[in-house]
Amino acid sequence: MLLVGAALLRWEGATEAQDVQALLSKVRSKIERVNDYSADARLKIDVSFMKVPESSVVVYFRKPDAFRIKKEGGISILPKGGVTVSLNSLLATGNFAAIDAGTEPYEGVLLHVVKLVPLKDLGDIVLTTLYINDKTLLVSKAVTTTRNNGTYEIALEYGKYADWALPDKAVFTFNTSGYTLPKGLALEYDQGEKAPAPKTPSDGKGMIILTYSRYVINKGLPADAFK
Amino acid sequence: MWPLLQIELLKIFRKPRTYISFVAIAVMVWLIQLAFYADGESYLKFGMQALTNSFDVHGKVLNGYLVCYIILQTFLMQVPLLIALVAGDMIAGEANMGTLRLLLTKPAGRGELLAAKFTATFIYTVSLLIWMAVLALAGSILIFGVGDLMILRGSEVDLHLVGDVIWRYAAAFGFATVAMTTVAALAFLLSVFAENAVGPIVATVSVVIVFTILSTMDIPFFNHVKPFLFTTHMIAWKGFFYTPVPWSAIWVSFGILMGHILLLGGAAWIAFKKKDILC
Repeated sequence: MLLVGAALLRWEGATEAQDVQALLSKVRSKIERVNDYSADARLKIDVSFMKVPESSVVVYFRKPDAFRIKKEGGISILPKGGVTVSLNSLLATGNFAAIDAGTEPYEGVLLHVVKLVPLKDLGDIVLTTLYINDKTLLVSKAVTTTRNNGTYEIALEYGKYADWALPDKAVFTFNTSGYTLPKGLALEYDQGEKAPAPKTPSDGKGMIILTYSRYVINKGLPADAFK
Repeated sequence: MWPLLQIELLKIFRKPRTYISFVAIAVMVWLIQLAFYADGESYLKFGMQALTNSFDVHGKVLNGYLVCYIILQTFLMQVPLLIALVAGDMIAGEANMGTLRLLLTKPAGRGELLAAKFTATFIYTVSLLIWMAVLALAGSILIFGVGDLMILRGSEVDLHLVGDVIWRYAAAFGFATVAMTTVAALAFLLSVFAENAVGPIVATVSVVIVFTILSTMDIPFFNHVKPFLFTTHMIAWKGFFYTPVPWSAIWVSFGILMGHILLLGGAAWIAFKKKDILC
C-alpha cells in the first residue's frame, strides 16, 4: 500500500513537472516568434531621489537577451540590471529548473505560478517567479531575485501586441534602499523650510513605467542599436 | 544724468583694470572648457561614480549645458571679487586722485553724481555677466553641443530635458545680476568711506568670504544667522535648476537681495551727502 502511495506521489510530481514544462514551452514558443523589435515608448521614472521628467524613448530587443532603452539625443537613467532583463532572455535559454507553485489570483485573474531556478551558477539571477495566464499563455508578472541588483518585479499589461507576447505597458518595481547617493560637496541653495518628502510608490521602492505605443517586429535593427 | 552716466562709463571702460575682470573670466572659462574638452569624460566618470554604481546612465551627459553649470558653480567666489574691483574704486578712486572735490564743484548735485556712478557700476556688472554668459553658455554650447542637463545636488539627481534648460539659464543669469549688484552696492558703500580703492575692495571681498563661510557651515548656532546673510541668497540662481523650482524661496531671496541693495545704496547716499570732501 505504501509503495503504491509513494509511486502515485512520484507519478503526480512527475506529471506536475511535465505540465509546467509544457506550459513554459508554449509560453516560450510564443515569445520566441519575436527575433527582434524596436518600440516607441514613454518612459516614466518614479524614484524618490530622482527628478526625471517623463520622456519618449526607443526600446530595442534582439534575441536572445540584447535589450536597450535609448532616449534619442537625451540622457536615460535606469537601475542596473533590473530593467534590462526581459522575459525573452529569461526563457530563451531553457537553462533552468521549473517548479510548479500552484495558482494565485492577480488583478482578478487566476494565474499559474511557476518558479524558475537557473541550473548554471553563472548569471546574476537567483530565482524568478512567473505568473502565467494559462489561457492566453502570457506572463502577467515576474518577480526576480538577483545576486547583485536586489529583487525586482515586472508587471505586464497586454493589448494590441498580445499575439507576439509583447506588452503595451511594463511596470518595473525595484528596491531603492540599496541605491544611495552621497551628499554632494557643492554649496547648495537652502530653500528655508524643507519641502515635504516626495511620494514614492511605497517605502523604499522605485518604479520604471514603460508605455509602449508602437512595435516594429522582426524587421531588423540599426547597427548601433545596442551601442 | 545721462551726460554724467556717459562720463562715468567712459571712466570705467578707459581704465585698464576694468578689463582685468573680462580677461580673468575669459581665461577661467576657457581653461575649464579646455579641461573638459581634453578629459571631461574621466572627470564625469569620477563625479558620477556614486550614481553609476547603481544606475546605467546612457546619453550625452557631457554637453554645453552641463559645462556651463559647472563653470557657474566654480565662479561663486571669483565674480564678486571682480565686481568689487570696479565698484570699490568708484568713489574712493576719485578721492584718492583728488578729483572728487573737483567733481562736486560742478552743477550736478551729490545725489545725481552718486546715482550716475552707481548706474555705471550696475552697467559694468551686467556687462561682466553678459560676457560670462556668452563665454560660458554660448561658448560651451558651441564646443560641446546641447543635450539634457543632469545635475547631482545633495543626494538627489535632477534631469532637465534639452528644451527645458535655456529659460533656466536666462533666469539664473537674471538672478545673478541682482546678486552681483548686491556685492556692487556693498563695495560702493564702503568706497564712500575710503580715500583709497584698495580698502573697499579688500573689505568687500573679506565680507563675501566670511559670509560665504558662515552660509556654508552647518552649525546650529549659525543657522539662525544664515537667512539674514546676503551670501545665503546669492546662490538662489541654483533654484532654477531644481525640480520643482522653489519659486517662493527664490522670491524671498530676491526680496532680501533687493532689500540689501536699497539699504546699502541708501546708506551710501546718506554717507555721501554728509561726506566731508574738504579734509
